[in-house]
Amino acid sequence: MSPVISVEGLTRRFGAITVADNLSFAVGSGECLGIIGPNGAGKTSVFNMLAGAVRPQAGRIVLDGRDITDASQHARTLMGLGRTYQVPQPFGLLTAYENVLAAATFSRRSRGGEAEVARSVLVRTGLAARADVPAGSLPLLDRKRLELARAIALKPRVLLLDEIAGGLTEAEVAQLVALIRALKPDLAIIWIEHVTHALSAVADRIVAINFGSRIAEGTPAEVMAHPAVLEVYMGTVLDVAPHG
Amino acid sequence: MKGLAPIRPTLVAAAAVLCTGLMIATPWFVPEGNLRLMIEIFAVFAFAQGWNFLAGYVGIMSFGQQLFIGLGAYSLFLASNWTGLNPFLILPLSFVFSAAFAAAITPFVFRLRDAYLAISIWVIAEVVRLFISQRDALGSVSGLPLVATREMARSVVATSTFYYAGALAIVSVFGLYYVSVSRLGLALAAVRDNEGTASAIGINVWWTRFFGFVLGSGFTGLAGAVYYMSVFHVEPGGAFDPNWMVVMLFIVIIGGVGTIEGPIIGTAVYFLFRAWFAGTGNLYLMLLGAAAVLVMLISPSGIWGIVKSRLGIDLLGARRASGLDAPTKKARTAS
Ligand SMILES: Nc1ncnc2c1ncn2[C@@H]1O[C@H](COP(=O)(O)OP(=O)(O)O)[C@@H](O)[C@H]1O
Ligand SMILES: [Mg+2]
Repeated sequence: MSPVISVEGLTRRFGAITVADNLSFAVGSGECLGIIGPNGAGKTSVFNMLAGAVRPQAGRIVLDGRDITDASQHARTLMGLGRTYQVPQPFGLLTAYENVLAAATFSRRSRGGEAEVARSVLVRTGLAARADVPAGSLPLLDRKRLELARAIALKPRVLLLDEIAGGLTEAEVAQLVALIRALKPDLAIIWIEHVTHALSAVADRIVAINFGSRIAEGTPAEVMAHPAVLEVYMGTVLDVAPHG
Repeated sequence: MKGLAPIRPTLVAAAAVLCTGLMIATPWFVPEGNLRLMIEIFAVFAFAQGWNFLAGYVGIMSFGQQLFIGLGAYSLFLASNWTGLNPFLILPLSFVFSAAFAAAITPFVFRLRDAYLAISIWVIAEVVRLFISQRDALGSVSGLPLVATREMARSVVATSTFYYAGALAIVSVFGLYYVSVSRLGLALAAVRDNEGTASAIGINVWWTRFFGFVLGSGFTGLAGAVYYMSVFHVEPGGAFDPNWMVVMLFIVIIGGVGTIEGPIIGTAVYFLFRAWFAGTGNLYLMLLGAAAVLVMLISPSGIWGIVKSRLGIDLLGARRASGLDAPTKKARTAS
């Protein structure tokens, strides 16, 4: 089966910082690729390049067999790419419902049924009770739910999720995992996540990156046990909590 | 108000029909002198709504919309004087010309952001004012008369101009309402709130802003043509006067930016102030300024913002109700 989205030799530097160093991966429909790595590794930057917000300096991005490396952001969305932002970016003066309605409305060329899509997505993401609240006055956790809701309402073929499980309770993480599993059969999912047990429950493969380079790839169990990954995370833990 | 939500479209449509009917009947009941004042009020209200549309619905802050007042007026006067055509028939031309001019400057001004964009349009207005001032064919500093209206009966001119001004006012309320609740209105609101996310949900941000800017500026041009048609004479110092911008800002800020009702209140306040204090010279301007500052300190969303949040009244807001059963009442009493 040919992949829905594939990346070849993706490279990008910001001054002295390398956020992507010759990265390559491919994800097929019904598949979930996890991405892990320490803060500042370049994970979000990879999403920015996939979505078209940041141009790569080298490499190619192919969606459904079409080279989209030079396509605009909105064109990629119309071709089936949907993303969430790690730091929520809602339409602040619009309600949660209107945020999702806009996504359902402008992401496809055919009309009809947008309101129904928006309502059902809000119910699925646990935002029904907040539907008519302006997004700018929602608490952070609800704004993160709204990121997921907006991305789902795009009905994408490729779903890019950037740290959506942080801050949730165990029960909420379980609900989130169930939701993403339910979406998965029709989608190619790429999921950046620090809550590794949630990621491991859904991802078929995980790529670990550091300084923009791939340091490990494999099944969740393989990557979590990989010496290079352990070293990076041990280092992080020791750096952050030397007295812990 | 919640209970009225399902029948709101009907109520708004009924109000639009009612206002149109009143507008058509007015010249039969109102003396010509008062018609002239109403024309001025409606035109100034349309200026304010044009700016409010850009600032509050499209998200483009321009400090140079007097540019389009002047362009609308000059395009009408010149076209009518040169061709001898009835200005009332060719009035839509001022919309077309102003919109085309707006379209032509977008590649330049859209490269700029925020304050730079705001000021760049003001600079263009000054350049156009100087350009006209130095050309005899365009009337230079002393301006142009509207020749064609001289031979028409004054009452016909007053009534026709009144109908155009009334149409501007109706479009400023109901046209803006229907745009804001439309698909275009949703795209504009998304772009206004967050351009990055708007792109990410499939909106072409550049073209959406372009369309909003051209539409709003064309409308201001049309209103400018109507205003100067009612005074039969246009000169560059008046038509491109930055004070127009001050009036628009005052009305919209005091009433409430991004609302339809706000500038209605703002326009009423402006003309009341003028009627009461215009004889006081500089004190009048200071009072205008003080009133604007006072309202901004109390409520950044203007007088209508206070009404909306205190009384929960939202007559013409663009809210799209989800129809989901939210525990709104419980949440309200709890908070
Ligand atoms: N547009 C940008 N300009 C300059 N530096 C950037 C930009 N975007 C990201 N960076 C830098 O690139 C590095 C990687 O950032 P990011 O991709 O957000 O990492 P991650 O998501 O893995 O935490 C960070 O040091 C960040 O400051
Ligand atoms: Mg990140």
